Amino acid sequence: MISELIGSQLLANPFEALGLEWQSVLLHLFNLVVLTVGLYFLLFKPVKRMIRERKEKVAKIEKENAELSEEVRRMKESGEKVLSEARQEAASIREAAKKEADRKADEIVGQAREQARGMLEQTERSLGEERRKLQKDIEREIADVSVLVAEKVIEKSISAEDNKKLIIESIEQWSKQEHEEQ
Amino acid sequence: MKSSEKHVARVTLAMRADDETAERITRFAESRGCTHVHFCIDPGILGGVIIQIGDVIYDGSVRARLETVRRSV
Repeated sequence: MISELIGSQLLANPFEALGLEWQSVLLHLFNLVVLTVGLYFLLFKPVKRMIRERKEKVAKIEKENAELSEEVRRMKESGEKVLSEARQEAASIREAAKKEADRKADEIVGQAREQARGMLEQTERSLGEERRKLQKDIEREIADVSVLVAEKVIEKSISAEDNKKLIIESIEQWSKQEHEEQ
Repeated sequence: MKSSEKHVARVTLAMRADDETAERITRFAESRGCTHVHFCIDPGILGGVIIQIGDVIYDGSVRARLETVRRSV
């Protein structure tokens, strides 16, 4: 019963039913609007601006970060390129040094071979000369011995008749030669 | 050299020559202007004859022939 009574009064005149006056409500509403507007300009707007600025700052930092990352990537690539070129150059230098060393080694070996060949030829020449000299000496020795033997044989075996023939032969030969020369 | 030596023939033989051989040698020397011929014996020449007339020497000794053979070898 009491609740029905309160319900019907609340519907008919809510301010009175709640013990409020409409001026007071209006004042509160005005206060609320003023507070809302004040809070909007004094709190919400600065916070919003601060958030925007923070976002912009974050975006700027991200952008700088991206640029720095790009710079790092470029530097890394550049470094790798430089390193690669340096490796290639080192390989090239190493290859050239190896070729030069091989060339010098070949040259030294060639010179040594040439020198050895020269020494061998010189030795062969010397040996040949020695051989020829020895052969000549032996031949001369043989000739000397042969003549000596012949002398001994002739000394014992030559007869007066042979001697006569030799003398006459010589005289005829000399006469003939002089006759031809005249 | 004396001019008289040009007219002397010095003949060296390995052994004594018979008359015919000596005559041939003398004729040879005389045909070259010699008036005297001196004979001497030297067994070292082995055989043949060496005749020296002045500066000219005719060497037909066996030793000279052997020497020629030895040199040619």
